[in-house]
Amino acid sequence: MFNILFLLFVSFMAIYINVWFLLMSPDVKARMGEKRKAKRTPAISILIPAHNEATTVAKTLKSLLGLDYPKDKLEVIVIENGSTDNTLNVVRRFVKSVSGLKIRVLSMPESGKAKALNLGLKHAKGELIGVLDADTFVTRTCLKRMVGYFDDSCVGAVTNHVKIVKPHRLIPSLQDIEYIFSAFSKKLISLLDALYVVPGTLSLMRRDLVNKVGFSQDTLTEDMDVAICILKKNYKIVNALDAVSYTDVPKSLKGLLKQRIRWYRGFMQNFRKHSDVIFNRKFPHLGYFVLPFASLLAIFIGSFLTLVLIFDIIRSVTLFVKGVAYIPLLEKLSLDLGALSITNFIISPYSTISYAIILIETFIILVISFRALKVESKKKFIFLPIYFFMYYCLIMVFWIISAFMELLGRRKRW
Amino acid sequence: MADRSGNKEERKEEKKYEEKRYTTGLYLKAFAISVAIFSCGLLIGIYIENFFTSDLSARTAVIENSVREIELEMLYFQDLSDTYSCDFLSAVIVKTNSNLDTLAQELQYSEKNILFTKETIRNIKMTYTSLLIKDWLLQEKVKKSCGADAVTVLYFYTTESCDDCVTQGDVLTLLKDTFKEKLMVFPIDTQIDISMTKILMDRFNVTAMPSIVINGETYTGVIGKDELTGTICEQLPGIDECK
Repeated sequence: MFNILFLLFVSFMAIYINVWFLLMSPDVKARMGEKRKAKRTPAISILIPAHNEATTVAKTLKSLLGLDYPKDKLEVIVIENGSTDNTLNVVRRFVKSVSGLKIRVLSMPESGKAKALNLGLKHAKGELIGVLDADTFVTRTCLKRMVGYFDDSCVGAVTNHVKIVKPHRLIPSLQDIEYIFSAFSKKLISLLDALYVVPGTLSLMRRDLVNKVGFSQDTLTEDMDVAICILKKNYKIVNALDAVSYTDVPKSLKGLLKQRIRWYRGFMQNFRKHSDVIFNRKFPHLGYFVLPFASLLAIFIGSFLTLVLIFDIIRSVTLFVKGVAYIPLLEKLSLDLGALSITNFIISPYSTISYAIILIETFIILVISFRALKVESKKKFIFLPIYFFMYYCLIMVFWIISAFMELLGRRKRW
Repeated sequence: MADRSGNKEERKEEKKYEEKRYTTGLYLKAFAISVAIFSCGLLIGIYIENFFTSDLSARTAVIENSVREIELEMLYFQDLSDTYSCDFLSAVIVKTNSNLDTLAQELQYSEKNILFTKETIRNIKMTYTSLLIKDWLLQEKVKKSCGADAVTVLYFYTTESCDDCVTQGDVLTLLKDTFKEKLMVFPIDTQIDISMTKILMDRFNVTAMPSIVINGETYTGVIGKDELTGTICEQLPGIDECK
């Protein structure tokens, strides 16, 4: 009985979150072409923390040279921290070879991204600061299309639209779909003033504001921490979809795992650090829905179902191989997961129907977001089934691993 | 001139994207739509469940009939006929047993997945259990008169908080796949309230779950695949599966 009720609850929540998404989608689609012309060009300091990024940092700096923005208003600060490769030499060589763009190079022993950013912040003079990772490349019009939003004095930070550099192989291709979907949902939650990350893809922030909150070392993802701090100061974070930057993504499973563990552990740490946001009247959308339900509960349900699936497969395989299946863990959870498992999936009408509804809804949302963002390549649709049935499970496994690592309290630096 | 028209356009654009306020209305609307979708799904589920349960009842009735038929045939052979047709009878019993097996598997699924027709499923399970015991009795009778070409296993289990029962069930399913009709398993759920179950448990000294009775001997606790194969092969020497 309990398992059926649990299943019904899970299905209802999944249906609800999807319906909510579908209801918001037309508004998001209408705002897709949103443009803000820059009335003025404030001085901007771009901070680039670099740690062992010798292969990409020159390309990143080169992309900055092409920016359509008055060069005298730009200031680039590269903060090399404790690299063991020749990042510092690459940067210095680059600085010598170019003229016209102000580039400062700072170097410090390894101490984490947040400290590096704080050091850069101390030297920054611009009215706005931009954070750019050393593996991300900006497009020509990026800055011009973002600064217009700062005409509104309530706006504290502006994020942009990040795409993936040439996703040719399988793992980058799958991440490509993920990034398209995430660009869409970021625009969506930005309409609700609930955007809670300012990623290092050349997000712009007001310098005086960041000076007040600072980049904290408390969590692994300072980009979420600083975003929530900005929201707490009653500023808005908006998203400029027409401002595009490109990023390099991990090409191997191991690299992806490493990246995601940092992200997800950072998410959990921030969730704990800023738990006062949850069910706080000051943040109606973020505190009541986006963080507790659309993020945390969705992840919990997803990883739980993935766990059931994995145990189910292990059980079947051991039964097949050894003849005796004894995986006591599932039974010991004192929760009969029969109704949720895949072998029973066809028999139980309720799980079949709810899975079908959720799948259809998710598919509609994906199609809407693909169309809204004008994704042209039909090739991407080939990856959709793999994305749905394998990549999603993989990401959920990463969440489970991250949760375990977080629970075991292992300290890990960026 | 050109500048002014540019400004106009800009203003227009900004107006178009005026901030919309999202209130609880959005969440309530989403809730209403989700409830509608959810109840549609639930209704379809209930419909399928009813369909499934009535199908199960119908199939139980069929098995009930075939058991009655065996009883009748036995009566005939015992009282009127001089020749006791062993081959014929054991073939019918084996067939009934395999029908009962399929029914058992489906009952197991529905016990977990059914939401509203629990009572019907319970009734079917009671009928099933008594049919199973009847089938076992007939098999024992035939064995006495004709000798055995199959091993019968009585398997006592419970579905509530019994990890070992799950394991033992898996082992038996696996052995059933190897021995096919040479092995007849009669799984008896001890939670189903039938007095015959208690009589059998008393007779074979079954006190804990899971327990297996083979050839009058009772084994308690999980018995592995290899040990069980050995016990079965002791009684059926010379068949291919034991070599």
